[in-house]
Amino acid sequence: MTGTPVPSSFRDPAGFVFRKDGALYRQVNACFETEWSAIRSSGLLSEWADAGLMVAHQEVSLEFAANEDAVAVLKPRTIPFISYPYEWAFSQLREAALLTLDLMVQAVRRGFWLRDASAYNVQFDQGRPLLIDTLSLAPYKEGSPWPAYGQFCRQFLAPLALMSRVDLRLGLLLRDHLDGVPLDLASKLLPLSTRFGTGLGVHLHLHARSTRSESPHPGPVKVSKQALLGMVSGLASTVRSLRAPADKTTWKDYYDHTNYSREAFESKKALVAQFLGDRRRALIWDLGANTGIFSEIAAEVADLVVALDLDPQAVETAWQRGRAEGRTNVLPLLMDFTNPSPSLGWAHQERESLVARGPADTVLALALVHHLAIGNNVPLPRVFDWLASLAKEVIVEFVPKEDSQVQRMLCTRQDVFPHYTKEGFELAASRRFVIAEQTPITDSVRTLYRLETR
Amino acid sequence: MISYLDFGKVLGYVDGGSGSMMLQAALAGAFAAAYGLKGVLGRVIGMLRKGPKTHA
Repeated sequence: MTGTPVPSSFRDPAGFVFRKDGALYRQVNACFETEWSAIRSSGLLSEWADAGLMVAHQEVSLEFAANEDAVAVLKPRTIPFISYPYEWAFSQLREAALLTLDLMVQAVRRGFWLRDASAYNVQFDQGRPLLIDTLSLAPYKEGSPWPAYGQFCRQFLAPLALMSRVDLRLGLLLRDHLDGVPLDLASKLLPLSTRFGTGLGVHLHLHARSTRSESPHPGPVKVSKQALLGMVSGLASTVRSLRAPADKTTWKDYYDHTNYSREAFESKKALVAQFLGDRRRALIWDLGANTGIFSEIAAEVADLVVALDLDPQAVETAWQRGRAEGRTNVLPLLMDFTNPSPSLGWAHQERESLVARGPADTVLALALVHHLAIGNNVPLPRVFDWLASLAKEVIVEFVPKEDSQVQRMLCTRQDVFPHYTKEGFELAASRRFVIAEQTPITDSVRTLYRLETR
Repeated sequence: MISYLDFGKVLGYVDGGSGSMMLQAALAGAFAAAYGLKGVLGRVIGMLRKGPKTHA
């Protein structure tokens, strides 16, 4: 074996993804040669890549193969930041679901189908979902039921239904259930009203019930192509009927109820732009991005801004606004910094932690540190240790105890934070960073810092 | 037409496959009919919007 297999790519005998000399490759194995030959000659992959539905790849020489089992080696375009379904907003998961179904319909009409329907096969790139698993495509087996039906319902339909009909936060169930939310669990959690009708009633509740009576001796099961297309079409209608609930949350409406004056808010925006300067960066992470106002400023000097926030409604708003405004280089994602995405899956290696997906070139931590230090009792030195692990440059805001937001946090609890002062903040920062710039935010008691690691 | 309550029994008659496979097989007729109906409706709506095709 030459090259290093990507830890999440081991389940499919048809091939795997590996890294070699810093580049990413996908090997197609001999057992999939016939299928691969049919796929290649169909022209479907290049059509999808040209239409922005699938990651583009070029086929390279077998000299690049990881082992002697290769019949083809592909070099896919690299996605700049890998995100996971449990980090997506409702609309991101919904778009990924509809992409999967759209590709399935297109494939079936051309004599192929998707042999799996994992949400992890979709990534967001340039503001839209993209199928990244080239080997998901395979020749259609006439008369066979769709083997990925259960997986689609667990990975897409169940979490979408729960987020839409119960609570957006239930999307996080995907973090515990990497193969998707068990249908019996989803069925128990969903309201009674969802049991009736041909959408969720069939694809989720009845489906959950049918999985309880599985037989160890499968007999002949026949599903015509028309029935298959009808089922996929029904799934698409069901997914389209699901909408993100328009809840009011603290964070989504943060800027409407903030203590900033208009002047202070404009000053902060100008200072962030000034601290970022003109230097182009590949990747900026905006921690506590809320609905992404400051991510948009950062996007002026970055190929990609990953806008992370703990409020699913704020992430949803950020995604929908970016979509409406045609912004392609801001990727809003759900992330709780007191419990960020860990390494998950087999041997803790299938899904990477947030930190493992870094470092970023620059991190923004605006109006965040007081939530970590006072809201969650994280000592300031630990906050800066963590920030130093994420990027070499950090633009961070200090919100002192005199600020009304911090006053609000302290009014219901004992102030056990004697070191939470401007001096304490600078001292803690200085252990890991050099303070390159600092400027007070006009018409507020807050200060903005630009830090560079030592 | 299969009612929700009858469905468990229907599944019992289908010998084999996982629950997902059996569900697809059991509802294949309904899925196919729905798809056919959708196609017919689509064509009718398309014709009403554009008017009938009068020449090649």
